[in-house]
Amino acid sequence: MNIDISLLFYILIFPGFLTAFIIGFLYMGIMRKIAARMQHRIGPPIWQPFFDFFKLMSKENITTKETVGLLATFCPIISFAAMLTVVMLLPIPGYTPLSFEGSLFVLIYFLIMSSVFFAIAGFAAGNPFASVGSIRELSQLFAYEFPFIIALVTIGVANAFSLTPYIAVNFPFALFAFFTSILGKLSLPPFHIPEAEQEIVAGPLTEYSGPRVAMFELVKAASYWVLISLGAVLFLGANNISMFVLASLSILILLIIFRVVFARLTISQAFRIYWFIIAPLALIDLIRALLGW
Amino acid sequence: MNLLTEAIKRLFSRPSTRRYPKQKPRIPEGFRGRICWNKDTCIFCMSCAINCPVNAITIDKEKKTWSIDIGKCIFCGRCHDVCPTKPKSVYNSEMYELSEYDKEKFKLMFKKEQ
Amino acid sequence: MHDYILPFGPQHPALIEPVHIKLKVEGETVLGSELILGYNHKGIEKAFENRWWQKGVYLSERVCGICGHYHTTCYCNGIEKMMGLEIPERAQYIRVIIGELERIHSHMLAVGIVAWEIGLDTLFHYLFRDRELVMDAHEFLTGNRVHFVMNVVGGVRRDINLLKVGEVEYALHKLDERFDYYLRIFKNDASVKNRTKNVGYLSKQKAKELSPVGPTVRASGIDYDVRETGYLAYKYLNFRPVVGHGGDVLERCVVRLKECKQSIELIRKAFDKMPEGEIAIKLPHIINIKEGKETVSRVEAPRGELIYYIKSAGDKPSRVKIRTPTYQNFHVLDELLKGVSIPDVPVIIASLDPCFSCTDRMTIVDVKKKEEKVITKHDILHMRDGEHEH
Repeated sequence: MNIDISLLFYILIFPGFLTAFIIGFLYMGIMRKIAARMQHRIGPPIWQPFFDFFKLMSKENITTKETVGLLATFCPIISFAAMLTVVMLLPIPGYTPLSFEGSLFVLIYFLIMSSVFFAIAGFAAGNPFASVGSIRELSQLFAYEFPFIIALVTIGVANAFSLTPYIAVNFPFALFAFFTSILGKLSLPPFHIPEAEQEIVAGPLTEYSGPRVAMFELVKAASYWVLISLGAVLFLGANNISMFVLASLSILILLIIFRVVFARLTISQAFRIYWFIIAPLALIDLIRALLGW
Repeated sequence: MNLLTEAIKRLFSRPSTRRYPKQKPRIPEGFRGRICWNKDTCIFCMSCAINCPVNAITIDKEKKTWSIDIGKCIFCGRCHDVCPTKPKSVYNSEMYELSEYDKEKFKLMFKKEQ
Repeated sequence: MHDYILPFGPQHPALIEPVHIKLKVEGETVLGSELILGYNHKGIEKAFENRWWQKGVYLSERVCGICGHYHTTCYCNGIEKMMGLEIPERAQYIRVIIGELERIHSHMLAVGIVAWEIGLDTLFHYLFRDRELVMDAHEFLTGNRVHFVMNVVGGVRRDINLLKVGEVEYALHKLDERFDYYLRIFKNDASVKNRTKNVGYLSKQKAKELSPVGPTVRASGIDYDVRETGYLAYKYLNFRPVVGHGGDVLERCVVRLKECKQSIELIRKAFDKMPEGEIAIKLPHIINIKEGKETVSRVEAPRGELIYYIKSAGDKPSRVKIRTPTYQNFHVLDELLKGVSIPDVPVIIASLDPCFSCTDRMTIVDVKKKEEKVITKHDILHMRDGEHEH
């Protein structure tokens, strides 16, 4: 049996596991640094998420009596595995490990799966704060997935689901819907509701420590990489390296600006905004794409 | 949108964090640092020891020693106010970097040589 | 749906100091709350009974970190009233100036905490950056950033010369523009108003029944401010309280910011009108007051009305009772936390500006304390006012 060496490269190095984690952590570090400078302070170095990850891996797993031990052990692993599958399906032009008909929908499915297992981990902890955090996580998932799917389907229809780079100048509402869904998925202001440290200590991860939290941090870093790359390729049409870098950085800068300027919404307000304001706008664009206008 | 314009303006200016210990703060006049004792002018009247709100000062008249426990001192400066000599024998200096690893090092003793 | 108890407990990232609030929650709606205090009990009221009058001043400053100057002012006012002394005018002005500076930095901290609780930490960082100007002004005037014991029985310890006036004037000039900016944000920014408007509404009727003090009650339309009675140098400064009518969290923050601006004006007026003269009356180190004499003194701390009841036992007090404003404001919390959703709970608690360090000198929550005292209300009024009319 001959294993295609370039396939192994795509899966493990670029745009696979190693790139997802390294560049994902770098995105998180850059975001913290620039947000700190905007708040007139120095901020942590951009390598801080790496230091946090290694520190967390060296700590001990503490489980309380109330925690369901089986779920607490396996939910981080399943969430992590789902995210790795998504990373393999990323439609980066020329470097995709896995690509088949309908791979866009499989990608969306596994993204939802990793969030659902994040919420299940919160329920498994047996802490009222974690339960409230998990309820909020599931409500927010339900809220932002609707415009997210509509936006991706709009681009798919316009591009005949070929997953090649496409510049969405004709569909500004779809771009807007995609961008605000990213804010919800990554828990950035104004939608940083499930992990509200002012209200429910740490959200779903209240009772977790050590390597389990480190695994969830990896999932978060990979989701940064996945969503920003999806935006750069499918909505901003990046087909070579420099355009890709430029598009990714501009999406990141816009995320940082939202992080600095907005206060938090409540979960019912977020739901209403996603379903009754953003989703109808995205639907307009979907109908226009279907009818060919 | 005023918050946004201020945020972007601050992005391109120096942060307001002071880089201590490379950059030390400016000490104003009248700053209340660690208490120091002038052994030449002290007349051993015991006013400072009696009036200290936390009893941080101990004086031994026979052995002519004056000791202060910096761990107990609240840096209020009352010993300076009640000292009757001119110039005052007990005063606030400008020392503020006083951390130690061992609590016993906080008990300072000074002796007046005969 | 089940209801469960969410312990907004002693350990929480949203709380600066430990307090236990048991919230009975169903889904995301709070049905009721129960308050358990006492985690910060320090035994200060007992410690007063062992110290001479002058030494007790240093102890009374340490009751609270943010409003320490007001505690010493209240204590010294009480002692001076018992001795029948009138401190020199320059000392009165200096006490007012330091007090108003402390009010500014306390209010900035309160508004900053509200901004952090609603999720906007940018505003929190900006407010704390500007608060450093006030701390530097304090350090220049008194030698310390917090716990500056400027008061002694009989006056103040240090004088203010022209150089110091210049430094403080620089800080005030910068702060004036910044307060205009913050008032604009609270008026115009949509995401801030979304979390603070109509949240924690306290009507004027309810405020009259429950009687909170400080900016909490002034934001509900009642103009109750102890500074109007004209103690210290306020009688020369033509003071009028700041009143708002919204009654919600937004109005309380706006009232605090407007009070900060008013404090800047008061400080500038005090600098102009301050006469020359002595700064303290010379008193012996150990003061003797007739045994059994008692008094009540009140000042307006940043959080509200602060009351000290002092009873003498010769050269030290035999009993000191402190009624802090936060203790009075907690009764409102029970009313405000009915029927709100969980995200609003820390915002409402922060908008009352609680200072648990001041509050926890008793472990029993007792509302009807006035009826249990032997002295009548007429006696208290007589002790408070002394000679002059109110």
